[in-house]
Amino acid sequence: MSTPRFVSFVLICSFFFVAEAYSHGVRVFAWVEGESIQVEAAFRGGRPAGNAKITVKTGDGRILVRGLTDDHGLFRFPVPEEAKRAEIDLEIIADSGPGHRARWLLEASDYLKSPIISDSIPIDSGKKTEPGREEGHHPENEINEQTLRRIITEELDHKLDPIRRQLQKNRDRVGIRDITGGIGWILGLAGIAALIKIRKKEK
Amino acid sequence: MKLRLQGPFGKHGVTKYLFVIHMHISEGILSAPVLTGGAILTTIGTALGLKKLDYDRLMTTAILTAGFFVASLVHVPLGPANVHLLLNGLIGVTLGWAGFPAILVGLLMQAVFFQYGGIVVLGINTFNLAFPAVCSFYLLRPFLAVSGRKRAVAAWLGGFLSVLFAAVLTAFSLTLTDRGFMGTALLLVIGYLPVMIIEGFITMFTVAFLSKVQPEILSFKG
Repeated sequence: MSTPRFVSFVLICSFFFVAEAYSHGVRVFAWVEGESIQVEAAFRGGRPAGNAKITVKTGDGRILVRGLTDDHGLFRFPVPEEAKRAEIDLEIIADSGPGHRARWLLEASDYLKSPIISDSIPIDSGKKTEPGREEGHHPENEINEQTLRRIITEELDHKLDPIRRQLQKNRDRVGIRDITGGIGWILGLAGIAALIKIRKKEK
Repeated sequence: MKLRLQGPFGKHGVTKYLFVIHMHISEGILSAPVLTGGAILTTIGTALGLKKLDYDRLMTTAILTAGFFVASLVHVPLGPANVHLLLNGLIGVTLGWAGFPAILVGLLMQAVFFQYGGIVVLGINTFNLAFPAVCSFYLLRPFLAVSGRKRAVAAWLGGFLSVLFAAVLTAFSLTLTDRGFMGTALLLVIGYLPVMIIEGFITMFTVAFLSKVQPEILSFKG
């Protein structure tokens, strides 16, 4: 077998292996759900990372929350009071074994935007007025609007969840483009090396 | 990273950890001295490798680098562990010192395209894989020149030992930063045992194949 045939043999073999491939390594992402923050740790490709250690830190390195993910790679914690007050960006770190660590930055604006956190009083009064059925009462309408807002936010969080996951999954997927790109680079670098070497050889 | 070994294999049993172990250390784990040390050693190895790499062998090196780059996508789902191929042994026995630039470029591409490892840890990760490769080159080279069973065994050992040694080095670099060498080493070695065996066979068959189609690949001197 000549060299070109050997090369094509190797390349064909490599493509055979990688029809559907995922890169691995752990990743983490976090979002606000109601009054708590939901953290998901998963391996690239979507397999949940159970038992990953989750650490929530402030920007200056203080640890606010610690915990372990469940079998579905999920971990939930209430928005820390301290963070709420000081509007700190939260750094969420997932650690799942030797050499595996990922981080996610949840900015203060993300969890403060959630109306639930900012308006605990109207929600209570909203619940009180409901059984009363006092129609045409103005304050009730205002309250309802806020309750509605809360419900919509919650529902949206819920509905957007799978989409978020799907996006993350797609981002982690290793496609044929990545593979060809990498091989192209390698061959290109070899080409450059060949040029340099042959110039030296000629001298 | 923190293994918290309790009893023989820890609180959650060894299987919980095994499938997450691999030899691309992520960023943000190792301490600066380990990273710098790795980078320096890799620079030396790469310079030596590039110097020894002659023109006629460039294409072989490129092909093996491409193979190494792609091999990381081949997961070995044997037992509880799910780890991927490394092919550093094959690179070692066929390339010698040129394995350093080959693995460096391969890992760089994996970091860029697959988000494995990372740029900061490139030095130490390269060293952990390439140094065992060079070691098996010197250790097994004499037996690869002769044909027959001796070569097959030597090639198999090349694949096996390179992964084993890489596992030990990886454990060692994690230890320098963190904790208990034995626990990490044990997990990595057990986790990679299927890969070691498989890489042994891959290296064996590839060397046998190369000796038929391109015997000159096996006849160069380091």
